[in-house]
Amino acid sequence: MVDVSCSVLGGYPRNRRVRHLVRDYEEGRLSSNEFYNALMGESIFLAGVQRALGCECIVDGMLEWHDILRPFVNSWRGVYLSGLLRYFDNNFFYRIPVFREAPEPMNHTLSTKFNMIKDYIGSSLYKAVIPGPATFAALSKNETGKDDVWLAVKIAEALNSELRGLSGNDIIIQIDEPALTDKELYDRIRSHLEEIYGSLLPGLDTSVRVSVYFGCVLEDAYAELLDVKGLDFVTLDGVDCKKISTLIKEYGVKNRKLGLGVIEARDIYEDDYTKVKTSVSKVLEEYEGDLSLLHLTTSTWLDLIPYEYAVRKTGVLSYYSNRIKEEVD
Amino acid sequence: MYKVPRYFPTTIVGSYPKIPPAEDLIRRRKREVIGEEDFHELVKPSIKVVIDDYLQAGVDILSDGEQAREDMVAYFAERLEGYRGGEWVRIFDNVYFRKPVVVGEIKYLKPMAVMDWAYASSISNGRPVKAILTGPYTMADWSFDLYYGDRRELVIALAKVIRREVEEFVKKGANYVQIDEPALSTRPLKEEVDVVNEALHIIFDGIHAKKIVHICFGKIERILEYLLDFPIDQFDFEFKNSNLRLLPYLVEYGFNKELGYGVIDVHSTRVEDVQEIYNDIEKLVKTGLLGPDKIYVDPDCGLKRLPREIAVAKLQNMVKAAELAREKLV
Repeated sequence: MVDVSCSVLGGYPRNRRVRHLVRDYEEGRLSSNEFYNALMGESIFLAGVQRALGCECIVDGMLEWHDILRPFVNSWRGVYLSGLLRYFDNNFFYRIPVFREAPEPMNHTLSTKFNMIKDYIGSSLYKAVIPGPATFAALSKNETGKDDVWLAVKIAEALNSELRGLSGNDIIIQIDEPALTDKELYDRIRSHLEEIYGSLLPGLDTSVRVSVYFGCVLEDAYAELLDVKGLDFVTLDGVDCKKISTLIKEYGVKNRKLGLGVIEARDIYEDDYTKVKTSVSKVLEEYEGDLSLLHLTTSTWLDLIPYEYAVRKTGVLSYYSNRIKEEVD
Repeated sequence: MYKVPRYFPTTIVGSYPKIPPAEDLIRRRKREVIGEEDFHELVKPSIKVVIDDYLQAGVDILSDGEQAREDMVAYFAERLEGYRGGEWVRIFDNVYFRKPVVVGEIKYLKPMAVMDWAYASSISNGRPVKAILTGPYTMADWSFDLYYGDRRELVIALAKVIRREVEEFVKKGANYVQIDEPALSTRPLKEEVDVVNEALHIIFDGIHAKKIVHICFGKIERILEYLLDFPIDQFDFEFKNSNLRLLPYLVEYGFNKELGYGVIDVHSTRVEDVQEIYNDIEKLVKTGLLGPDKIYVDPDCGLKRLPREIAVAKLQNMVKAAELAREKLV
């Protein structure tokens, strides 16, 4: 029997109130305390939505993050922010981190946040999402004088220090590696994922999953990823990649649990249940790993669509997951 | 009539910092406090401020500064049948745009931007003003589509209405028509270029004006060889922000059209000095790829995100650098 669970992959968009909060904070009209307390109210609402809809784990929405790399760059020494660059094939731009030396964490941005969230929301399973070290290095400018693999390893060490503050059985960790869909980016760290993750994962006593989105994971990258020890879960983009079943047939999942992004997170149309079910069925046919759990999620973060649609898509994800669960049973 | 310099003419890509009354007018029109006709009448003083800045800087080929446009997609979407207004979607940091939604067949209703161009032309002291329109691929990519369900179909439908607008511009005497396709760099793939090429034939075939396409901020080198098949006279690319990264690729692929050469970083408030801009022009000339009559000197992209005084200072230095290039490199 396959247990089907679901959760939102990552961040939510900012609603009008949050946009104004961020603006007021950045322009000095709100203190740090006022800002984070007000923001917490919005995160609690989103957490409530996810919990009520039966999501396996809860994300806080990452509402204060300007992009996935920013909070880490802001809390590390050795790196500064540069100009804007397109974030994969989206009409969204991130600020390029420029590394001059190995990053050195000044404070732990994630543990502070999650301790606050737990205080407010209480007992639940939380998901902390971080940028993968391969993606982080590939999206950055390297002015360290060392190669990109060295930089990725150093980023992994810095992220590890962040993650160690998060251990506990009420938190799972998701590592996002969209760069593994882009050959040019992947080539910067090709054949070194095991080494890089060897610096990221030690000492973590919680479930760790990796997520690849914005298209098909490159075959070589997927094969490499499956060799990384310590990853419990691999999540792939089932909306923008039509060959997941082929990939799984070829490489399997090596006893990891499988996550599948089945709800289009970059567009607002109503996802067609039949299509979602067909793509799940196709993957299940080829899946030879542990069939105890299939995790359904959104194709990427929900922050590229308007807020109302993001909340609605959460509902669609939950509803479709329940239907699939019943039908698979 | 003003005579545009034969060598290294200077121009701009399109947008200019919003003059405060224009921002207020856009809000009032959206709330339907004022109608469309009054809006275009009332926005004229803002356009005049922009034109005066251009003239003061000495730019040769101008624009209306897109003072009437909230952004490059929503403005046209609001004036076409088949669209409905959208909600806020983030572009970067805490900056957003309203991403419109295609809910029906796209149809042309009436001229959308010609009136602002005509006014700008009437006060430009004879200097030509570019007609600038958002391209169909960018319109499609930066909209949600709940009707066509196929990007190519939507792009072609949009190309047909843009063709109508281009005809209106040319009828009124526009000699320079620029189609902005920044979204093309989002997916630098041959099949995407093919769709845009098809759309550009719809827009430009039989049109008698200088035909320009502006693309920026992306891995344009991946598609450069296919872009050269576009039925246009001039490409306008961003160079400065990416440290002229595209330059060797132009040489590699035998770039053979006129080039709008972006020498001003519109994402930086640092004002490039004259010598620095001149040096960048010289680097292009030294490739031997293009003669000075094929090089149009301009900023990387629209200037709308810069403070106005910075935009003016950048343009002034750009014009001086082009003059220097005419002295030294011709």
